[in-house]
Amino acid sequence: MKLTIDGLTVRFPTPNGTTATILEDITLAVPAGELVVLLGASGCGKSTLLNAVAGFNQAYDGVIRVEGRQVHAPGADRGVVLQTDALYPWLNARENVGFGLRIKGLPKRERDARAEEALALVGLAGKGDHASWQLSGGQRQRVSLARALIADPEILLMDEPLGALDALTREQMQDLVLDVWRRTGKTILFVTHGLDEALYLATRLIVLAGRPGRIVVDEPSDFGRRSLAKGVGASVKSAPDFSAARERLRAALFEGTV
Amino acid sequence: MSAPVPVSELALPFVVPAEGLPRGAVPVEPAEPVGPARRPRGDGSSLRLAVSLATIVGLIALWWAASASGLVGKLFLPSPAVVIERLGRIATEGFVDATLAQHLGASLARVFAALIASLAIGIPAGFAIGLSTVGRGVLDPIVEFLRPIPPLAYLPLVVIWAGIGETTKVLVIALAMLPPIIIATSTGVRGVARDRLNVARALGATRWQVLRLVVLPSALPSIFTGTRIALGAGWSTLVAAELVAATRGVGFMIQSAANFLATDVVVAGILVIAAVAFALEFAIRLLERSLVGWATYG
Repeated sequence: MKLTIDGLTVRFPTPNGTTATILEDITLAVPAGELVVLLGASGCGKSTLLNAVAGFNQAYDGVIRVEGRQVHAPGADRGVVLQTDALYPWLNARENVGFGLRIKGLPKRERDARAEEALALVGLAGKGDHASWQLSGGQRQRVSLARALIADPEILLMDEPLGALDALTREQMQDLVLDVWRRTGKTILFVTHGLDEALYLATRLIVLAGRPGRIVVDEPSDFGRRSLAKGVGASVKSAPDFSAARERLRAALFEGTV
Repeated sequence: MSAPVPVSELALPFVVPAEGLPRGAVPVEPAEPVGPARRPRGDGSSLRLAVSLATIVGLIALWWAASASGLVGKLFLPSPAVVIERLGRIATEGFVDATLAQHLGASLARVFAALIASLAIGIPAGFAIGLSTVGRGVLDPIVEFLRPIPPLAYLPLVVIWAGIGETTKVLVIALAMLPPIIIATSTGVRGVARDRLNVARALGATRWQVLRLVVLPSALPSIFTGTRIALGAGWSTLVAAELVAATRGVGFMIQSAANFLATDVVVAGILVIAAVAFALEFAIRLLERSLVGWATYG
């Protein structure tokens, strides 16, 4: 298993002195190569779960393992792409992508070469010299994805990475995520509150709902694979079973039951 | 010429609550771009420049008229021509045993020595305040105690402690420069967006690497603002610093001139200080634009 989560419970102190339980007893195992989408309404704890896995929040009960090793603090085995691209404006695109290699102490020549490869993978070949503020929102998020990939993480954690993009760019980026997933074979944990996005990308769909958040749906999904089989750009979003699945998920999201 | 930074922006580092924001408790917005916003050309900036020039010319004309008409006595306000002529003589013949270049050199050396010292102390201190609760608890009261005291008030104490040598002069200037640098640095350090830090940590960065490669560059625009304010404070303190046993320096020159009622030298000295301060401000803006120009765009 790439990722196992065992009995994860997260509590936060509230302003009036009590504690609020955000997530309760989440148990989950993700095998290698899956594109797991974590779907949930706002406030259901899906980002809390991802922050715990990433190690940004270390105040939780339960055990999280990556490739069998227990993890707590953040580490290069878990790459992250956040909703804000969090690019460093004092670095150009290539230097931003190569940042993880700089941390490892690789020489500049090798960093640059590998950063260019990663930029090409996300469709930004030749844009390495651009300053981050010269890139569009979609391009910035591509740089952010390349930056996470270059460290060759065991698992890629994506926290609503397309949430701040416009609808058209968002659709393009969904295809890009599928394309990158197919080409790298990475295990991905993708958090979103978009129903269509979740159905379109997932090989496995997990719905979090309720307070505290619990897993109410955990099922395989094949729309992403079908899109890939037809070629990038071909949409399965108008297929009849897509709409049916969409209605079923919507009910699960808001009622906490299937 | 770049657009003037509004006073409210310059004062930004001073309005942070003393206890600061609870770190990590609230999502921190990325630091405000510190550099002046770059405007498209032809939006009236040339008009503004013309108005500024006209104001300066008008003031000089008013000054000339006041002294030429005999309305104000020569002792109180020498005419522009006399001051310029005097400035020329100070530059060539000198005043109280030193030329203008030597006076200016002595003053600049003191201000720059003080700047280097206060940057060397202020930036680490600002990091300590910005990063650690203990650091903030220890250093915040000291900074807040030091900040409002006028340099003339602690000058005697510094003389008693450090004597009447060059150290005292540099120390007095440095004490005035330290608070703005510390406060601006800590504000910049505290304002680093959490996502920027998290991304680096997720790439396996050590605490030291996060500090050096993420926090320091993020705080740099703020440190620049603090340095600009500090240079202003440093020049303001110059005259006080050169009160004690100086033989050279623009501040010393002004005080000696006052003893002889040489008003023209006093005015010339004031103009020199203003011109040098302006030139330094301009130079640091250029440096800022080349080093942290990205801050304008975020």
